[in-house]
Amino acid sequence: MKHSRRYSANSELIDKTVEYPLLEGVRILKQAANAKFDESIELTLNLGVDPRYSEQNIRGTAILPHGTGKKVRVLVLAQGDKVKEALEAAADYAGLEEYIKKIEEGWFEFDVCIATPDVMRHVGKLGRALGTRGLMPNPKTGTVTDNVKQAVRESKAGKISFRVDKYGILHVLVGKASFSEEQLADNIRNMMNTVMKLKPASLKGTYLRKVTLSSSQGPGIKIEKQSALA
Amino acid sequence: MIQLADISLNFGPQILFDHIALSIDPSKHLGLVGQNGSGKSTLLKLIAGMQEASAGSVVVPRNWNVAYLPQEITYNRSQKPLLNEVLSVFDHVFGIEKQMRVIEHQLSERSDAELLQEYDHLQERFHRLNGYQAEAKTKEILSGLGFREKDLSRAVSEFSGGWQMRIALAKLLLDEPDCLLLDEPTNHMDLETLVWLENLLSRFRGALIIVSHDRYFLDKLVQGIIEVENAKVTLYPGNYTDYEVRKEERLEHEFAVMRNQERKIAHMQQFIERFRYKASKARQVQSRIKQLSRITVHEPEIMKRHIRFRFTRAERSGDPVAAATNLAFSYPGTPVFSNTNFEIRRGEKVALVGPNGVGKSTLMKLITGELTADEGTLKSAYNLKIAYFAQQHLEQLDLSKSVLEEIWGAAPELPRNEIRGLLGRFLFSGEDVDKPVLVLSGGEKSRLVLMKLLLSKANFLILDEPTNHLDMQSKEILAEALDEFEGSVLIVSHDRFFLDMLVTKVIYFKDGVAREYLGNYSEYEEKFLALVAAGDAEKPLEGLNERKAQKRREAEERQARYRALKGVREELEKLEKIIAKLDARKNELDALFISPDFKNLSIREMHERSREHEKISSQLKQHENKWLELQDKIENT
Repeated sequence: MKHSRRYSANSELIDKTVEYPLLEGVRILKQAANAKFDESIELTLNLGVDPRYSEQNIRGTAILPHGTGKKVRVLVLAQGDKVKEALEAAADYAGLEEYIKKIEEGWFEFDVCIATPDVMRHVGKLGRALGTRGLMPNPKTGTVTDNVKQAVRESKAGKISFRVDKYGILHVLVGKASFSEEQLADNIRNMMNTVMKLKPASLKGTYLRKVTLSSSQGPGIKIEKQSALA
Repeated sequence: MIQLADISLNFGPQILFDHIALSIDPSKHLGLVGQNGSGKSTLLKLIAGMQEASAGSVVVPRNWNVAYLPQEITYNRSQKPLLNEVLSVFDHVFGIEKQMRVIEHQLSERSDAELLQEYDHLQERFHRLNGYQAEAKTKEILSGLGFREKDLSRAVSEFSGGWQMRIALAKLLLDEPDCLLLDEPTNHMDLETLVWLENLLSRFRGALIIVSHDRYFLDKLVQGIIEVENAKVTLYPGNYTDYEVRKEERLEHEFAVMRNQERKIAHMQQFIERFRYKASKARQVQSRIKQLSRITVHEPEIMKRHIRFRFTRAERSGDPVAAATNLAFSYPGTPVFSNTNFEIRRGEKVALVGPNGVGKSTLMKLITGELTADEGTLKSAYNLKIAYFAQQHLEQLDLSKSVLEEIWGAAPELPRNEIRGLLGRFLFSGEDVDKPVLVLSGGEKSRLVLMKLLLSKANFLILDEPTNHLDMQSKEILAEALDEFEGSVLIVSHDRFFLDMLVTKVIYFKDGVAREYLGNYSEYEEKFLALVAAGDAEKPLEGLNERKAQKRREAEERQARYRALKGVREELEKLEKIIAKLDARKNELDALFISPDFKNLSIREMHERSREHEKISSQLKQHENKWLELQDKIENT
């Protein structure tokens, strides 16, 4: 594949054969993330799991202490008092019929969708539309809940949900290139610790195989596993 | 990994597999090749678990999903609309969705942790099984396989054979198997679909075994070739071209081994003969005899059996064989083509190409006179005898008859032994000829129909996909035979390699008009793809000038070669004359030496003769060396 001059220059900064300690890796990463916009930073974990077995299907939520750097737009599907509660907790949109209709017509200007259990029978209809985009409310990620207030706050504060893809690889957004090195390192460590706690008891072989960081348009940097876990 | 361990399989006296072993890596793409009837389809059925082996075991990993596309699809008579039929692959997934709906309703009454957990569980499974993308993906695959939006609501039973195969293939592809077994998926497939399938399969992550006689297709797709031959399987790494090279090397090696062994045996036999009656060597002789009896004679794999066609010389037809002027045809409500001009000259080999359903068969039917044109004229030559090889050629065979009866029925005037000989050339030998037509493999049936065609004494052959089911060797021979055939040939085929060997003109359909392209198929395809890439597929193709230039270049090269070797050739001829003269004299002398007359000569004369003999011998040797040198030179230029 042909790469841009900028990318090639950035690749020179990195020795592909070396696993860098976390802080040094983050420093180089920031240096290489010099596209014309604020690049996102992605953490990629290669896990030795086979997601076809349900206990090895690693997924969950993590709270990033410094957020993802993206403004999260939250939609709450609820009725009655819960609507008010949601709006008080700074949800961007809250309601039911109105939004269901909008979504059916192809409106998707939100990043998280939270629903209360009692309206799930209406939300179910939107399954295909929301599901394809990964927006379907789900109990395990805390988006099907009666405690709307907490759910909205956490989402706004940088709660992210993650799941391994079918090849056992986990991709998560952990911040922006404009974050300080410490902020990024904090977010990464937090994320890593959450994932490590999810190690299935029955797993044979290595759980955490490889740790890689990359920015939206920058090269990948291998990170030493131990340094990211500390 | 799939493991075949020590598998044997026989059908009655015929041994199909003899203690074979094979392992298939989880992400390897393999081609499966072998002659017709060698057991390719059976091997796939063994892996798919649809055929029991007589001995040995097939081990497929637990929870592996193995999908198999058979060669001959059973006609799906379902009245369901196409989309629903294909979506039925996801029935179990939609079952999960239904359960989710039930729980969603329950949630409005009670929302305890248990229920929520169950809901989460279902949702996750639904997601994993691609429930959310089911419909989008189905549509994507159907459109890739050449179905149009309006086809989605048509009943499945309305689709023809080729499309039925695609429906089955779509279902397999959607099922995301770990191992995909495809038995000749490229039969009946047009170029665009073929390219699409190539791309899709090259991205397929699981194990893939594909039977195909399309070498281009295999070359692009596979990392290994499984060869079935003489009841054994061999795995060759690399694509089809690599396989051919390795195969050649292997054959050479086997021949070398055989020659070595023969030499050794001859040597021993000589020793035995010479010293058999000598007491002092008796022991050694006995030991050699024993050794000799222990040697198992190494036989290289049986030399490839080829089909040899020779078309009975037919009477000449007029020229041009068929000429269309402003031809137009439509079925009620659907125009097929219009404003079409082309000409097929006597002796010309023409390819008829275009996507499925574009009107190729219709055009053929117009030529055979089954249909009549709406507008324009289609002139055909006098004394034209057409033989037609239909795509669904099974109708041309009587399944209840035996192979011998079937062929004899086509040419009752021929004696039995000639029929047997002919069948032998078509690889039906021994007990094969008594087999009922019903049990023949796809390729064998094709061969049988082609054979009937040969006996029909036609001078214009219309072949609709003749190479489907034929293996590569049979295809090459068929192409050669058709090339020698003096009459005209019109072929519909999607086999690039086959067409390249044969055709000099391509008639192609674009936007409801059939046009001519003068050139072979690869050239046409290159031009066509370039035009499609440039978004300019409407422009008629021009190949004539280039072809002429190419021919001129070839002719010039030929002449240059001829000139360069002219002197050498003359010298060679001279030498041959001298050698012949010397040889004759030498023979005379040889005869003289052993005749009684020799003794009557004087001593001096005897000496003279023997000196002359010596001289001639040495001269001969010199000349012969020189001759070899010159011959080499000619061959290497």
